[in-house]
This record gives sequence, structure tokens and C-alpha cells, in this order.
Amino acid sequence: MGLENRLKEYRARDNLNQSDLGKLVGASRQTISLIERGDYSPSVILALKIAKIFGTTVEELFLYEEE
Amino acid sequence: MKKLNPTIKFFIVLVISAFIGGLLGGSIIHGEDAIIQSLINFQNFMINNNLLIQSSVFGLCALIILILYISANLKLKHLDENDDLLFDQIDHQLGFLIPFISVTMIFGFCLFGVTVTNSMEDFKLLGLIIFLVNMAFTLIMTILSIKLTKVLYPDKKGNPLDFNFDKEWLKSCDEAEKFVIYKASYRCYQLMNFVYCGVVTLCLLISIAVNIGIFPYLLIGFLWITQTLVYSIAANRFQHGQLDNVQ
Repeated sequence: MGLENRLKEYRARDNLNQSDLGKLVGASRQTISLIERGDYSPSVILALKIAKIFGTTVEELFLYEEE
Repeated sequence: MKKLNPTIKFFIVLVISAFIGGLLGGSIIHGEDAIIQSLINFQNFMINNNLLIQSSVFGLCALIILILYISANLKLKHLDENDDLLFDQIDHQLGFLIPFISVTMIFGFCLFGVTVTNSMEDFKLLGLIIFLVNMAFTLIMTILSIKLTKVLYPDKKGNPLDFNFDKEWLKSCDEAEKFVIYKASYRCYQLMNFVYCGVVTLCLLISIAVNIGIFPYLLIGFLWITQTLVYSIAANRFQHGQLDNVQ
């Protein structure tokens, strides 16, 4: 299974588009899109920044299960 | 099906390659005259029609570049911040446009090289003019395309005319963009090792029939060793504390 995330869900909750979120965490829209699609695993720092924006924890936002 | 042991697989590939090499070598010895003639014909064709080839290749590439640039520019003017689809389209277009401009420039250098090869006997000023126009055009289009990319990604920094452009550009990329660049660079490194090996094999095969001199081997050897050393030295440095990824 690997890494899954609830980024889209949280973004919809806070009414943020990918560009807005990118600006808030200092990443490009493409990077947010890659993370959302599960094509890129963010660094610890970026994951923490995203979690902070949504007022939640990294564990709540990113779900990891051993394959 | 049981997977083959990598060592056995390696030796099987080695034997097959040696067999193919021997077969090709044998057929080259038998078809020596035909190969020499076709190489001479090809060289003569390139030298005699160089101006036509140079101008056609440049004209076609310039047309494609202009169409792509104008189309991306128009799309960018109509881009709405929430239109992810159009954003991706422009991004793809620019992702093709910038490397294509580089390829056009490389073509310019190679075809000008053919012009220079024949310059002692018959120097063609038009060849030099096409080359200079190609260089000016690709330089201007690179600057304009980078400007366009900066409109799409306002955080990107760097002036293409600056010698530190690559460094500055990379610095302004975020972590996923850097990851893409690193992954693509490694793919390029891996592929180039095969390309060098293939070109040396090709030269060896041609050498059986035609004397191509020592310079192709020296040049390929120089490029291959440079690439391997640059990669190894950089990897060694990064492994010993100069990775510089602390944010």
C-alpha cells in the first residue's frame, strides 16, 4: 500500500486550491499535485508544514502501511 | 517461471553479444567495399547539401519553436488560477519547448561543424550566417521561454544569460522539482554509459572496414571517463557531508 494521504480532503475542507496550499508551504502547485496523487513522498519538513497549515498532525494527514 | 541468476544472465548476454559482434564483424569484412562506398556517399551528401540541410533543419525547428511559444503564451494569458487542466497543459508545453530549443542549438553546432570540415576547399559564408542566426534565435527563445516559465512559477529565479543560471534555478526549485531533476540526471547518466559503449562498438565495427583514425576513440574515451569521474567524485563528496539538503 505504501504512503497514502488525505490532502485533497483537507484542502476541500479549508477551501484551498493546490496553488494556495503551495504558496502557504513554499512549494509549487505541481509538487502539491504530485503528493496528492501519491507520486511523491514529501520530506519531513514539508509534511510538518502542510500538517501545520491544516491544524493537524502528520500521522493524521499521511497514512503509511507496510506493503 | 524461475528467475535467472544475474551472473548466469550476464554471461549469456556476453556470449550473445560476442556472437552478434562476430557476425557483424564477419559481414563487414565481406561487405567492405559497399560499406566504404555508402560512408563516402553519406559524407559527400552531407558536405554537398550542408547549406540546404542546415537551413531546412533550422527553419523547421524554428517554426515548431515559434508555434509552441506563441501557443503557450496565449494560453498563459487566459489562465485562470483554478484551471488546473490548462496549467498542466502549459507546463507540458514548456517542458517540451525548452529542451527542443536546446536540441535546435546542438543541431546548429553539429551542422556548422560539417560546414567547417569543408571550409579549406570551399568556405560558405551562408553556413556561418545560418549558424549565427540559429545561435541568436535559440538564445532569444531560451530567454523568452524562461520568462514564460517564471510567469507560471513566480518563485523561479535565474537569468539565462548569467553563468550561475543553473545553480540559481536549482536553488529556487522546491524539493519535488529537485527530486525530478536528480532522478532525470541519474537516468541520463545510466543511459549515457550504454550510449558510449554502443558508439565504441559501432566505431570498432566500422574500423574493420574503414580507417576512421584514433580520434573517435580518444574523444569517446575522454567523454566517458569525464562523466564517470564527475559522477563518482560528486557522489563521494555528497556521501561525506556536502549534501547540503538541510532546510
